Amino acid sequence: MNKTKENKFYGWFFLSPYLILVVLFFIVPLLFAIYFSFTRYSLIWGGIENAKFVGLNNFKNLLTDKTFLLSLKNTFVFVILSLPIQLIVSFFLAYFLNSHLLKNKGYYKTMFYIPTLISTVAITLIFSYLFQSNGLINIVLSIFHPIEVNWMDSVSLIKYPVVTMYAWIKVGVYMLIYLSGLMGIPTSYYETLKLEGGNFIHELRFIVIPSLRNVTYFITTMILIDSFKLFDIPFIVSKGTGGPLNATLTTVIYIYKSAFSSGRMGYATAASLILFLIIFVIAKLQSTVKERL
Amino acid sequence: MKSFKIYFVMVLVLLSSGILFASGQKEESGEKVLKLVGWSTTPQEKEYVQSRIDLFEAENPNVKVEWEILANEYNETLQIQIASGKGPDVFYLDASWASMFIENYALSPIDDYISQSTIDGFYPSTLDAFRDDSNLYGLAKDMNTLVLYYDELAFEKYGMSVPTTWDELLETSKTFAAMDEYEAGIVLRTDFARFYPFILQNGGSILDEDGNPNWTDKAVVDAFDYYFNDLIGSGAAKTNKDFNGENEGALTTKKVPMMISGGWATAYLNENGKDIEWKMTKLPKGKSEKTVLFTVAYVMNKNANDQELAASFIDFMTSEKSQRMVVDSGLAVPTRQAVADYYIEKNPTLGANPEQAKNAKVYNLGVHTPKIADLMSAAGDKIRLQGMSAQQALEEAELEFNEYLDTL
Repeated sequence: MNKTKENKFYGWFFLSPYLILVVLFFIVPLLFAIYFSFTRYSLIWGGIENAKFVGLNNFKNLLTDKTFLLSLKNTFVFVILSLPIQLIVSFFLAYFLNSHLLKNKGYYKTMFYIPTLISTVAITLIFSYLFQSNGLINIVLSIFHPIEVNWMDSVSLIKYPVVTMYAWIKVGVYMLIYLSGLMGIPTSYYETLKLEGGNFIHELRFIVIPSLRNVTYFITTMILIDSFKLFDIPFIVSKGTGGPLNATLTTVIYIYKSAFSSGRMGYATAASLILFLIIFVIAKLQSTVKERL
Repeated sequence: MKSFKIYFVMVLVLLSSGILFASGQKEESGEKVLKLVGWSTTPQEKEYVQSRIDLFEAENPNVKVEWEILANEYNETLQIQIASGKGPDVFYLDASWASMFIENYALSPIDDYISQSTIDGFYPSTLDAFRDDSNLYGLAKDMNTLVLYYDELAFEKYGMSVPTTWDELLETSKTFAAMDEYEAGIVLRTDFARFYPFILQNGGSILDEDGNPNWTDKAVVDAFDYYFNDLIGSGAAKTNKDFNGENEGALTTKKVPMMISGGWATAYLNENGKDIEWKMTKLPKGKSEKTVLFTVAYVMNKNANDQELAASFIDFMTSEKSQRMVVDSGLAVPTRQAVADYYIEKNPTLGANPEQAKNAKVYNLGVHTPKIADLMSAAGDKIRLQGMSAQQALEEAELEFNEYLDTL
């Protein structure tokens, strides 16, 4: 065996553990998912041989299924609300932490990151108390205007506690990524701006935001993908129903209910493929826009 | 070099096979392993199930029972376990999920292993959900109905009578709700299982004889009106969501003097209801006393290794002796008729629960029970949160259910 062939052999050989895992736990399940999306299948029927081929029926039915379409709408609302909040809050927290005037930075970093480590169930419980009719949020808001609404049982308002909880959990991670980006900006840029008489707005506009372009793109992609897959918070808040009146029914909760409560794994898989396509198209659009800017 | 490559390839193959098959290996020791999956509501319940398992193992020395308690997402986890091709030999199955498991061939019939006299010893309604046209798939381990809990001190203090009819319930609730001491007269939950008894008591039914939805029937609409408009809409009742999800807690913290729950609530009330004098009575009756029966059975997985052993375990766990332990726990009512007297003797103040069971219909509406429950709960929410009329909310629910059936 010559040297090139030998190198190829070892290349594939050392890659093989990873490749085996990718094929077993990613490629094969993906192919199964695609197959199941064209079938009528329940998990408890047993093997794949019990799946009945139904062609495009699952996809056709999903496109006229009002509850599925509502779940997509809800998911888009959560994405639209979550993206700017998480992006802006994590950026300014990182900016605050990067300030040379701030002392005990480690303490603040820990404080902002802790929510990421707390169990979602515990956070949901705490926020449920905060947002109930006689909770702290209403007490504070009552200073301006008397309010007694139970946010957690209101079709029009429940999205806001969910988005707030979601941001509270997530911004710690994105803050750290922004912080590492900010720390990578050479100090000479700031010194030059100072000599030129630039102010805070100039600093953001001409140094910070352009320097963090790639970081922002990465975080935006993460938030988008993560928000489209939002499940745990609305699931716990609504005790698995997506209620009240489907107000917190995200697409992933819909998929979960179709698969397990209704025993329609084929239908649920088709819904998950549609969601995958939506995420894929949006991520692709985002990448195209970034390259043109 | 060649031997080096062969050596590496062998290591890779061994490692891969180790990863793939390690979990499937079992010692061949002659001991039979029977896997049971269930849940546990209280430490007391866990203790009595374990003691029965210990006794079964003592009587069958070559059998080891592995008991796995699934704390969350029980049905979902179970489905995944069964989909993996194995799953537990025996598991708990709630009546509301039974049709889905039976119609999808996930269970094995137990008729061949259980004597007819044993089956005849159970209250027939407790086994209804676990049958199809030709087979029986499980034996009910215990049962419960929804009852009215109240704080006797509150009723004595204000010289009030405990309500026995819908009209009395509404009047009593309104009277308590008007007092500064209470936030409402009664706390109610808004999920379908909790207001289904009111539909039955009003002479309504969810599905007609052909299995079609019957939701705009006057009896159903009137029951919704009573529950969501007369009780909740008037402020006479508040929902558990008004108390941050607390139902039993609203009674024990004296926010309300009445609460509806099942027999399972007694453990919570014993633990947390020290400041009140809680009592249980039958649900106030409508046109009839018909109500809903909640039950859970031991069922056998179609993949069970030793079906005879699994069936004998089910028989043992639901035997008269085991049912006496259910009675001792006070958490539920036994499903064997022979133990009924023992229940009353041991729990004289909890008699409302078994008494109602005689008039009860098991909580199972076929394979679509979860979907029906979702739609009915949503109809209630439309009345409660959006001010929609009961008629319109139920028309919309029925339409949505028919659309759902069309997509199957």
